[in-house]
Amino acid sequence: MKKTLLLILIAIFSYAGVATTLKEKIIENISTIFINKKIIKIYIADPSFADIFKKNAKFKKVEAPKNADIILTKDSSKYKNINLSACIISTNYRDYSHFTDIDCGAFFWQKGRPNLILNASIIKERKIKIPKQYNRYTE
Amino acid sequence: MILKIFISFFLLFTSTVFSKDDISNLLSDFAQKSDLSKQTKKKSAGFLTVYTRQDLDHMQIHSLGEIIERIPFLRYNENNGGLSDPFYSPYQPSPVNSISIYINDRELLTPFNGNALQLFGQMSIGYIDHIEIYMGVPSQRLGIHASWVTIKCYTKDPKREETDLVGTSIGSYGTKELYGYSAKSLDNFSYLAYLNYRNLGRKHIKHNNNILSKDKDIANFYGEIRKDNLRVEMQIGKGSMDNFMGKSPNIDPKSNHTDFDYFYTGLYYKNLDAGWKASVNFTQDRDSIYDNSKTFLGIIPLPTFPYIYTYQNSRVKIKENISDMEIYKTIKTKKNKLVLGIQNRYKHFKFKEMNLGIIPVYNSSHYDTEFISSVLAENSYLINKSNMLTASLKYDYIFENGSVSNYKTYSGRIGYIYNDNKWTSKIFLFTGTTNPSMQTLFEDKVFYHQSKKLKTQKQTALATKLTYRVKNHKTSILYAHAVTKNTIYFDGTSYKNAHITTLTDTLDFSHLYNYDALDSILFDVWIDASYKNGDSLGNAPKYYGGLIQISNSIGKFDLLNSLIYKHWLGIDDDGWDFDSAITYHHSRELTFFLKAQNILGTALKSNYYSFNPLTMTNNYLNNVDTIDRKIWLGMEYQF
Repeated sequence: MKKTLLLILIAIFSYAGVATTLKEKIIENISTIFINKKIIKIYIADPSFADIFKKNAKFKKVEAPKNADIILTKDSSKYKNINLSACIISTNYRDYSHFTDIDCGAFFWQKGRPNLILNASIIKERKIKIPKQYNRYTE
Repeated sequence: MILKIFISFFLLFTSTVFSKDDISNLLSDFAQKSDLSKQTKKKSAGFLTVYTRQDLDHMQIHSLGEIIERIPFLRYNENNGGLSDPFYSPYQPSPVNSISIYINDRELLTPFNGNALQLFGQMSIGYIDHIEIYMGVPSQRLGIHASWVTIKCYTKDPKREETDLVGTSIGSYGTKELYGYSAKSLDNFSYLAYLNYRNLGRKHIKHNNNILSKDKDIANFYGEIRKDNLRVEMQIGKGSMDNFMGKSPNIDPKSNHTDFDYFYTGLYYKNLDAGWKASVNFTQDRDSIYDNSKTFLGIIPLPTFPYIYTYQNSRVKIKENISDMEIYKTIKTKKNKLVLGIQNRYKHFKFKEMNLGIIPVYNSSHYDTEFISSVLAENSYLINKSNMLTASLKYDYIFENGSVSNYKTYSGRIGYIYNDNKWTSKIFLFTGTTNPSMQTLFEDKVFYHQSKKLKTQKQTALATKLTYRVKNHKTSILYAHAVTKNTIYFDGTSYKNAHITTLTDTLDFSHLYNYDALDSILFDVWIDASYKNGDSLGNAPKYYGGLIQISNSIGKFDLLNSLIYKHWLGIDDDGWDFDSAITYHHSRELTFFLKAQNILGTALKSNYYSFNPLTMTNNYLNNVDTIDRKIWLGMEYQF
């Protein structure tokens, strides 16, 4: 019953659900730039993203990074020496700036704003054609 | 020329609706919906206006005073010392529960002078993430001091900053500012350290061959450490401020200024799962106020010839301590939420020095300490998913030392909230009493030798707000009616309680149109009238005003244009304050901004007077700009 009350309160007085949906949409948009598959397997290592892709037919959460197409992490060092085909999206700018050789991009908070970076060198290396609207986020 | 440029910008960006690509919209929408205010705001506490982080960034708000001017029913005003004081009226005490300002859970307060807006109004607030403004009826849940307008400022969350940043700006009248902050997080540990130096140049007023200055030179540090459920805060401020006209009877001040040292630290604990919230904090403010006049500053009656002593200067050194301790327990059941709280506040001031010319003055009353102990209960009952009832009670016992009588005050509030997808309706009924400020009690006893006990001020108010939302439009109408008895005022000889009952009616209409995630047009008009019980509202003198504000984001530019109109009693010309701000995000690291305030130079002005006890006449200083016509240019670089 407490959960019911909590759900009602959340529905009435908060936008948390809306924010999660938007976060999911952003990750979905970034992922589909790099991965062209009907079902995208995602490994979520950053707990602050654990609430996304609970009900999304296009994305399947996996338990091991080796099975993933996309890895969401704030610690890219764990994947530095592993030969993975997965695309790593960092959720921390400091982490991304240290691992631009393996990270496809980054989605993170900085200066109170959500930021998006797509790694130009990885895009070039993998010969990915990105939609025009993402040009300003490529660096 | 500058005016033409800004009007061109205004016209260009107000007439066009811009569309953006999907990902930019998604990011902007995500920023708005994830704003920290979604976690902090208390909708049941009153009628709420939120300035999100994005709003403050767009508006290039750098001090609290800039926000005050945008609040309906208020105006930005400054006192005879050049300090921010929206309710300033010469020689009258500030209304005791008119406005409260908080940074997180700390109320900005000084025991003697009351709310610390005077100190903080023109200080930098670069460490603030967002601002919530509660108005209409006081809420006891927001802090010890329930007020008609409560401004809650929340500091930046290090987890959302993750940056080291430096910034600088220059402005009109020789303004210079340098600041920086570092905010990082690691697992459950995070910190924010902010440092600012502001040399605020203000327009100098020439009056009878005298220069009146409000310049300020302030260094300000704010630090915060968060670990699990704990938060430690610290703030240190130090500065020197010119006293404008000060207490000079002939308005001929000479080198008058105030030096201050401010120190604050607090420890905060919050465990939402267990329903506990507790805090303890301590603030010390040391002021050295030097007043000087070319002719004379004041007189002291003497028992023998020449019967009066005139002095040209005065120096007052005051040390003020304040300490709060609060504990709250929240008990949630199926449909009910009960909050119980204990609040204690210790206030103490000491005149380290008070010299009128060469004559020292001592606090003969020994009155210097006030202790407030309060208990409160607030209950919210959810009838169903759309209807909620709320009720709160608060009782305060106020201990005064130095043979000043103690006070007991109470307040109660009931409310009903209806909320569905389109409509929100809130109605609150409040009644409560408020004790006189320490300054009033002290001056009445020491300066005016009164032994009477001033009565508490009693207020009752009914307020309601109706909001309708459809697509990107939000329309609100607010009405409040307040009854005030026993208003405390100064009659020229001592403080008194007014025998008349004052009625106040306020009406506000606003419409917000969000035509894109971060692009909006806000329209707000309001009217306010105070009159004696028995008089008709129709004949009552009225304050009124309006605001139109357009906010745009276009590519790398954020733009904000606003026009504020105010009609104010006692001021001949109505005020038209046109402000504009442009922020250019050159790269993720580098940002430039240009801000112009009071572009037309027609913002509401203020009238001052000073009483000359030798001639028994008033000297007037009229049409003074409290909002300078000013341009700021600045940049920020994050590493």
